[in-house]
Amino acid sequence: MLCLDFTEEQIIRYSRQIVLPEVGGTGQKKINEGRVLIAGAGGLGSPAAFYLAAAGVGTIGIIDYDVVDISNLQRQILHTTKDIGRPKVDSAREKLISLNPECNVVSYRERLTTNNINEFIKDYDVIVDGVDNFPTRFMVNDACVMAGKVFIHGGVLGFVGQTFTVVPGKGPCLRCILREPPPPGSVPSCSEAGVLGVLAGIIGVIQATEVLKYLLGKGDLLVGRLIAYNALEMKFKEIQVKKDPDCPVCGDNPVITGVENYGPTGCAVKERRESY
Amino acid sequence: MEDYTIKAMLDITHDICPVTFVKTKLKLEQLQKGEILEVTLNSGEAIKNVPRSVEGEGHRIVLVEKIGSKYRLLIEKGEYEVIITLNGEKEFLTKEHTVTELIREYGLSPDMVSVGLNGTILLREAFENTIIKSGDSVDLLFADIGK
Repeated sequence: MLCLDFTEEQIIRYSRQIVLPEVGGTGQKKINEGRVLIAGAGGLGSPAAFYLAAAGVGTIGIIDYDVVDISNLQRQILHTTKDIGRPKVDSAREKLISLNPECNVVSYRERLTTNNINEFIKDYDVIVDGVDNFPTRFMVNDACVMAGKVFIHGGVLGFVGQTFTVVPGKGPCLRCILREPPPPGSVPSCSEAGVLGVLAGIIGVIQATEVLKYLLGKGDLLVGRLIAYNALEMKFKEIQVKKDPDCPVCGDNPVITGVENYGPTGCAVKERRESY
Repeated sequence: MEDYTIKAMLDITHDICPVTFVKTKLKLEQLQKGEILEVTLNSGEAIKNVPRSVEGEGHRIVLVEKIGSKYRLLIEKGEYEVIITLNGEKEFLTKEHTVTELIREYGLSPDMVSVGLNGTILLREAFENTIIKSGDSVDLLFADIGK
């Protein structure tokens, strides 16, 4: 007999998703056993982590070195005004546990570096991209491809956002689309260009949806297709992306075989670090 | 009266919607196909909704019995193994079908319809050997309307 022992509280808490034919008790167990690392407790990481904790993801790791700044609050909904000055991971952990005390929230007040990235991702099934700069994003992409971990890319700027899912061996990775991180200064960071807070919400929630579908093994993931969202036009555009046989990390003859130097990770121009 | 071997029992008289159905569903999920679950439930909302939802997931109601103000429900576990999108709506099937079988399942003749499978029109010659799998999107288009 299949073991689906839920407590009374769990049955009620998750009832609205257990009723779904695609979830059921079996799917809920998969979610409860899921291990997800949120790289960055900012604009994308906040909504993603909130919904994943609410859905009952068993272990949520959050890595971020920054402290909460008042300018974060317009979009980083894990943090409140009274959290200003606190490490984001502490504030995040408190909110997620208060939403769902069953969730094991592991917080790491660290910066992701070439020295620690492999150690961080090894214990997780899925890594959610909530980082605030291209070099780190490429580093996480490369490390995930090499470790065979699912990586859910998301990015927002201004009124546009994009997301797609990297399943190593099955579809393209970030480098199939964009070979190298753009040179510093060529891409405006959020603190220069601004972002509508809801953009991060929409893209972060799509990333969380991808996580849940991956854990459940249901539906079609954003593998080989990228969703580009424009809030002003209110349009979702789907762009087919192909796995590139010449990709330096996931291609037939990869030249990147270990995480390497990715250049400065701060915001493109300003020194002040802010998460999306 | 037929005899049933009851595999598991459940009392949901203290629960309200949707927990009534969720608990029933969780119990059924732990049974094997063909096994019987006995459920005790209240009149009113529960008896109105639970059997309907249970049938909607592919199980069979074999007995409904009124005992005082409560009901005794016997459910035989069935199974939907294949979920497809048919003309834009979700459809549950108990097994994989060939395209021909699927068309006949809906009381249609393979000669009457054109079939779109995952966005591509399927050649009639392929109906017999093409198997509809879970997750497929099928459009049955009436080719010969007006004939």
